[in-house]
Amino acid sequence: MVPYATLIRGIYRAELTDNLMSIERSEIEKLATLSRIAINEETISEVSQRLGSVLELVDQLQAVDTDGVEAMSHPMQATQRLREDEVTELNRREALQAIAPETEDGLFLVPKVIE
Amino acid sequence: MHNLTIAELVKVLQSKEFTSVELTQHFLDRIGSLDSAYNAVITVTAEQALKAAAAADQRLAAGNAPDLCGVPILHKDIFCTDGVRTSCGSKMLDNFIPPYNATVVENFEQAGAVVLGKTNMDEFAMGSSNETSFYGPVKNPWATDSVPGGSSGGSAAAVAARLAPGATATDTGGSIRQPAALCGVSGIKPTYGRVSRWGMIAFASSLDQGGPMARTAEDCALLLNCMASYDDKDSTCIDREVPDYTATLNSSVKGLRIGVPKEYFSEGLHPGTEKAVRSALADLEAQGAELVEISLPNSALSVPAYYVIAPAEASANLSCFDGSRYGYRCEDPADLQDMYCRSRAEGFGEEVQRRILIGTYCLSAGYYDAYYGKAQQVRQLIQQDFVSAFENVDLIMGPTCPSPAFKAGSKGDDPVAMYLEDIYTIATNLAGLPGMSIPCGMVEDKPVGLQIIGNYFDEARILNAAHQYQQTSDWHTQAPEGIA
Repeated sequence: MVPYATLIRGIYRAELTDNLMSIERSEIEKLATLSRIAINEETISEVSQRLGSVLELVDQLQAVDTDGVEAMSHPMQATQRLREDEVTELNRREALQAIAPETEDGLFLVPKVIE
Repeated sequence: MHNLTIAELVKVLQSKEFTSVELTQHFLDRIGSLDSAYNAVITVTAEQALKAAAAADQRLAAGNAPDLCGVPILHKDIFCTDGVRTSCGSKMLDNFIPPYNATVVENFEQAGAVVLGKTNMDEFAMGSSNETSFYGPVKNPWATDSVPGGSSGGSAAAVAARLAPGATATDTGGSIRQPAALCGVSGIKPTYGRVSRWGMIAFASSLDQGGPMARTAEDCALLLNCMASYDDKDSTCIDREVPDYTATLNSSVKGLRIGVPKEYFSEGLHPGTEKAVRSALADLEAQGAELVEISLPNSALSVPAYYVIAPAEASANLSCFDGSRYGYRCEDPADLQDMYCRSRAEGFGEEVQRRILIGTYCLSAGYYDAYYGKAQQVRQLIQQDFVSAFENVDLIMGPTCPSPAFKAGSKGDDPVAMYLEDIYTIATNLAGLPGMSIPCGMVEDKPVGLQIIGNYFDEARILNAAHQYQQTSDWHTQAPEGIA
């Protein structure tokens, strides 16, 4: 585990640049597809390098012994509340569609999906 | 007028020494004449504000008006405001005019507070310097070549420059406390579930929490009284009575046990920051509090755990911005995929895209257990550190951030260096605990923040200790040059 002091002083960063975890180009392309974000050719190596440096940081977690530790998803261990199955919200289609890029007859329009 | 605290404004408004319309016009004029130097406010709602102020004056004249009636505030541009653009600092939402109010906005409206406008912020609250905003960076009023912190940098800079006596903000990894520290104001992130997240644009849902910023702890208490509420519309909101946070401000800190985590004072902390924080702790000790050295052994893991959990949740939350129903859509999409991919590439800035990609990576098949699952387990360890500590102490105190405000542009190229800015604040979000930052000194003519962390739902005790410190110190009354 990297101690706080090392992190703050950036020594850890200096070590990183020598031994930077690289992400394969194909992996970046796959991530971009999964994320639905178009990435242009010129920036791929820069994106790869920056993602690599963040992944190096988070990879410190792998060294921690977490056997038998339960994953925590809510600080107060709250569970999902249920409510009565009653109508509580009125239909506000017009107000909600007024801010849409394109609508027609109460529908949201997007480019043609089926040929 | 602008040097009065909210507590003082409440008095002068109730005694009709001046009207809310006069007060509102005064702050609108200040925003108009001063904000070009700071860029703290994205949208000014002058017309609505003056109308709300006139209505508040009528309520005040009728008597029995709530505390905040007629008091002008600013909302961070992450809270949805009915009929007023809510950009979240992004090109993606530059054209987004919500048809409803966030619960927090509704609470202030019910109380008769006057909304002057919406404050600048890091895009989708992702940043610690307010340099990722689509609307340009915010400048720190104490040193305009330095950052105000982020992501609530607009709110912090506006309060520091007396453009408003108070503002709303949000905190996912330090976004209230860090800018409050760097701008020399007071700000509290409540317990997770204390303030409704409904209508507050989501970044990382298991960490996000709204809270107030103002110049004093007493003003934060007044604002939190209004901001905190149980809300059916937020399924993670906790159904628990909201105490009057002002009621216990004057209690003595005699006998209060303050835990001082040794991990927060390790090498790497700016010596000037350390000196100011230690001196504040000594002041509280002189008032009768007891300092106890404690250890939070898993502290250093909070940064890596956070940079899995927050991007993972962000990648899921931000999938709704796809150009279909609201927000930005690219020109002439060739097909549906092209519309998604280009709308998101053109609508989101670099840091937001980076976090979506990291989050997607951590959640993708084959990596989920190794990253997200592991980080949630580490989160449990971090929480346990605090649970153990609070068996022996009432509050935990230390620095809010490692050093005073850094120069704009100095960390822009290095995401990890920027992430380390929140090294002392992130653990509180992971554990869901309340935390506050108050001014406690100056280093290189820039403010230093004292962080106060409390047990779950112990906001009143945090505010009490902060208020008591502010009774014997004057850091919170100081103003940047040219402001007073």
